[in-house]
Amino acid sequence: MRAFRRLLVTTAILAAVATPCFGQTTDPIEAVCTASQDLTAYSATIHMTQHQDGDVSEIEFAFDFVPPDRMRIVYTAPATVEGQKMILNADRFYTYIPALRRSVWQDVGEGGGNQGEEMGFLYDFVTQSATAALEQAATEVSLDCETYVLEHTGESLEVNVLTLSFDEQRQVVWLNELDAAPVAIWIYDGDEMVLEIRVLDYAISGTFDEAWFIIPEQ
Amino acid sequence: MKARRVLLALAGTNFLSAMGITIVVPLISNLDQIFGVSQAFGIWIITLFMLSYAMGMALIGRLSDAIGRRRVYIASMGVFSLGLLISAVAPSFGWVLVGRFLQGLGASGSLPIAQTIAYEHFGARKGLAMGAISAAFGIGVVAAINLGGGIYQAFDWRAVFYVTFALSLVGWGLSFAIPETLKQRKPLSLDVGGILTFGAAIAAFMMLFRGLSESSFASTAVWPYAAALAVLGIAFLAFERHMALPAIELALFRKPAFVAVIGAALAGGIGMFVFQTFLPSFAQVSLGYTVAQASYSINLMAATMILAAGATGALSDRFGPEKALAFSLTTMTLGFLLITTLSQPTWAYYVGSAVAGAGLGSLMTPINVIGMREGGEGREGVSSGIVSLSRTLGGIIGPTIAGFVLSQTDFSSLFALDNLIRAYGRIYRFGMWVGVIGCGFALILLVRSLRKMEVHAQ
Repeated sequence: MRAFRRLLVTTAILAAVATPCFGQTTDPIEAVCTASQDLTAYSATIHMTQHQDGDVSEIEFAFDFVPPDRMRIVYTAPATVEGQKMILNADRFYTYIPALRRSVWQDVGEGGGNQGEEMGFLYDFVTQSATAALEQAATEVSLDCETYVLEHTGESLEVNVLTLSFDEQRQVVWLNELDAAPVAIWIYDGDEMVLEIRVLDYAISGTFDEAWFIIPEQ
Repeated sequence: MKARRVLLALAGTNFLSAMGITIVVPLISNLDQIFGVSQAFGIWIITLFMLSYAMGMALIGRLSDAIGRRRVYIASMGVFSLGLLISAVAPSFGWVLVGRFLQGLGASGSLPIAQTIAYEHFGARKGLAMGAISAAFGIGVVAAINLGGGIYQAFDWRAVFYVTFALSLVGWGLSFAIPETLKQRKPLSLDVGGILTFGAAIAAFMMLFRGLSESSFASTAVWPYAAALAVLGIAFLAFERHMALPAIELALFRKPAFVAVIGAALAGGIGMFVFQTFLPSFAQVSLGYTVAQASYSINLMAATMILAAGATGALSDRFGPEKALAFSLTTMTLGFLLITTLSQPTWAYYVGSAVAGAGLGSLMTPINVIGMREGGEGREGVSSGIVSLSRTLGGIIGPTIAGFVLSQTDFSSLFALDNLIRAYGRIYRFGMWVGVIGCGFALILLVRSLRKMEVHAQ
C-alpha cells in the first residue's frame, strides 16, 4: 500500500513538471521518425568536440545534405582546418586538406561513403534512417524540462531528450520540440563521452546549388 | 696543403651533398599532384635515394682503402652532379628516380670519406675538423629544405634540381682541392654480391612496410617481402663470411664497443631522419603553415644544429667523444619529448625542434671518432663507412616506419587533420623511445671509457 502511494506521488510530480514543458500531444519518437522520413534537404552549421586519449579536438563546419547520398562539408574552424572540404555522392568521396594541399578520392565501395556516420543520430536523421536507428536501440524519453539555444541565431528552443542505447554506445539526443530535428547529441562509449555535437543553426528542406556536390576530377 | 683550404673543401662538398638529401623534402606532401603519380609511388623519390645512399656507403669504405680517398671522393661528387642533372631534365617520373638513385650513390661517398680524411689529416684537432664537416652537412640539410620550399613555391620542381645541380658543380670543383691521406693501399676487392644482396634486403624491408600500410601481413603484397627480407639477410651474412675483404667486415662486430657505437649510430640515424624529414609537414598540419612557411620554420632547429655540430668537435677533443655522444643522444631524446608533451603547439614545435637540433647536430663527430678508433688502425675507411651506413640505415628504417604510421591515418574521418596530428605525435614518441635506446648505448660507451681512464690513472 505504501509503495503504491509512493508511485502515485512520484507520477503526480512528474506529470506536474512535464506538463508545462511538453504540452505537445505528439510522441517525440514518432515525430522524429516522421520528420526524418519527410526530409528533402538539410543545411546546418555544426560544432563537434572529440575526446580521445585525453585529447580534446574541436571542429566547426557547414554541413549540407540532400537525401539519399549527397553531402558537402566545409570546415570553418579552427584555423588549421579552415577551407577543408568533403564531398560525397552516390559513387565517390572526395576530401581536400588545404594544410597539406592534398586531395583524396575514394570510391564509395572502397571505404568512402561512411563519412557522416561519426555524427551519430544526426546523420541517421538526415539520411531518412531515424526509424531504422531507433528500432536498433533501446530508447528512453526524458521528461526533464530543458531548453536549447541555437548559438548562431540566439533562438531559444524547447527540447525533448532521447537516450538511445546500442550495444556499446549510448547517444543522448536533444530534439527541437517544434520540428523534431536533432540540435545536440552526446555520444558515449561505455561511460566515457567521446563526441559532443552541437547544431549552431539549421534549415530543413531548403534549396541547394547543385554545383556544391560536384566532385573535382582526379 | 693548407689545413684551412682542405677543411673548406671538405665542408663545402658535404654541405652540397647534404642538400641533395633534403632538397625534395618540401615536395613530399604534394608528390602525387606534382608528378601525377600515386603518393605511395611518389615517395620513392626519397626511398630510392636512401637505398643507393646506403648501398654506396657499404661500397665506398673498401673502395677508398684500395684506390685512395681523393679519387673516390671526386668520382662521388661527379656522380652526384650527374644525378641532379638527370632529375632536372627528366622527361618522366621514372627518370627523376634514376637521377635520385645516382644522387644517392654519389652523396654516399662524401660524408664517410670526408670524416676519414679529417681523421687522418688533422691529427689532434680532428674532432674540431670533423665537427666543422658535420656542421656543414647540417647546414646543407636545412638550407636545402628552405631553398627547396622557396624555389618550388616560386618556380617548379625542375628548378629545385637545376639550382642544386649548379651548386653541385661548385662542390665538384672543390673536391679537387682535397689531399690524398691514405698511407697504405689495400688490394681492391669489391664485394658486389654482398652489396647487391644488402641493397635488395633494404628494398625488401621498404616494400614490406609499404605493403603493410595498405594490407594485412597475410596478404601477398606483404608476406613475400618479409620472406625475401629473411632470405636476403641470411644470404648477405653468408656472402660477408666467405669474402676475404667483405664490404661490411663482420669481425668488427665482435668488439663490444664497436657494436655499441653502431647501435648508437642506428638510433641516432632513426632520430635524425624522423625528426628532420617530418618536421616541415608537421608544421603544416599542426600550425597551419604554408609549404614555404613550414620550410623556413625549421631554421631554429638548423641554428642549434649548426652551433652544436661546431661545438661538439671541440667538446669531443677536450672531454672525449663518449661524453659528446651521451650529450647528443640525451638532447635529441629530450627534443622528441618536448615536441610531443608541451601543451602549446607553437612552443612545443619551436622549443622541441631547437633542443632536438642541438642533439642531432652533435651526433656525427663522436660516433665517427669512436667508430674509427674502435675499428682499429688501418681500418678507418671501413669503420667510418659502417658507422655512416648504420646512421643511414636508421635514416631508412625510421622514415619507413613513420610513413607506415602516417598511412594508417583515417583521412575520411571528420577529424582527419586531428588524426593526422595524432599520427605525428606517435611518430615523435617513437623517435623518443628510439632515442632512449640510443642513450643506453651511449651510457655503455661512457662507462667503458671512464673505467679505462681509471685503469690508466692507476
